[in-house]
Amino acid sequence: MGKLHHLPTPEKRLIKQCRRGNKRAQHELFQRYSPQLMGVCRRYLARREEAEEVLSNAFVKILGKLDQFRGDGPLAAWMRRIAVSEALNYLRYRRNVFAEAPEDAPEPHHAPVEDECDAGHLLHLIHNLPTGYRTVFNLHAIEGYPHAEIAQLLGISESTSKTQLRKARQQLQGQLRSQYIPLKKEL
Amino acid sequence: MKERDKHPVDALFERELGEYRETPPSEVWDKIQQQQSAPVAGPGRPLLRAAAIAILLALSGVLRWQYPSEMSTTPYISLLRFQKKRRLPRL
Repeated sequence: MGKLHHLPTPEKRLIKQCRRGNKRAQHELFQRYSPQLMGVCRRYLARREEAEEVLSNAFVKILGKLDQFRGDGPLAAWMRRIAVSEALNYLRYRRNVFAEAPEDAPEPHHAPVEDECDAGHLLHLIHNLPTGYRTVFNLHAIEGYPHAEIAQLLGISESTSKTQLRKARQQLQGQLRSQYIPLKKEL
Repeated sequence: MKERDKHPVDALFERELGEYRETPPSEVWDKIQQQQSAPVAGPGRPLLRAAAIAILLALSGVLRWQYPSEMSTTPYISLLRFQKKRRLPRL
């Protein structure tokens, strides 16, 4: 069982109570971290119901594995890794995800220019990507995974990972340009 | 990778969505509780069953190899005969 030396006392107490199976503490943990974990799941899965299913599976796993949390890093980062892994498992088993050919994308969303760059709109742009592109883009651009690790996680080659990232960027770039969203550098 | 080295598309999405949060509906917690209370087939049980079967098979193989003449095709009768001969306690 992890020693949790580096964690702040209230979090340490909450984890210990959760490990003992205290339902109230588990609910508190859920309330505290579920918005962040739901955010992760939403980035990987276009359909809200799927994201909710992945979140519930991930949280059951988190509660089951809490004994293994060693407290070396932040609890949120540990939980986030489990959520990402659960999202990848879901995509791997429920869909033919990581194929090269793009699947049918949802209808493009044209947001009004004034609220163009909010998170909700960018999330929609990510959802417009084929699942393979979206997964690689999330893992590399947002989570910061290197291509070698992505290749291992998704069972694809490094060059496929790089190609999917490039295509994801091109598609996002095209959508951003068509909606006049300025970026820091010239794309 | 430093922010300035990042591709601008990556940087934009990381900045806006890296800490994206969305409150899930309360039904998600209800589902988690249901999943927790559902009986889970422990991974040890099928393994134990398989191990027990393997041990029994191995034991019967050893007996057959050690006492080929005493083991007939009717295992129970041959076991009774075997017990009688060896004066082992009855089952």
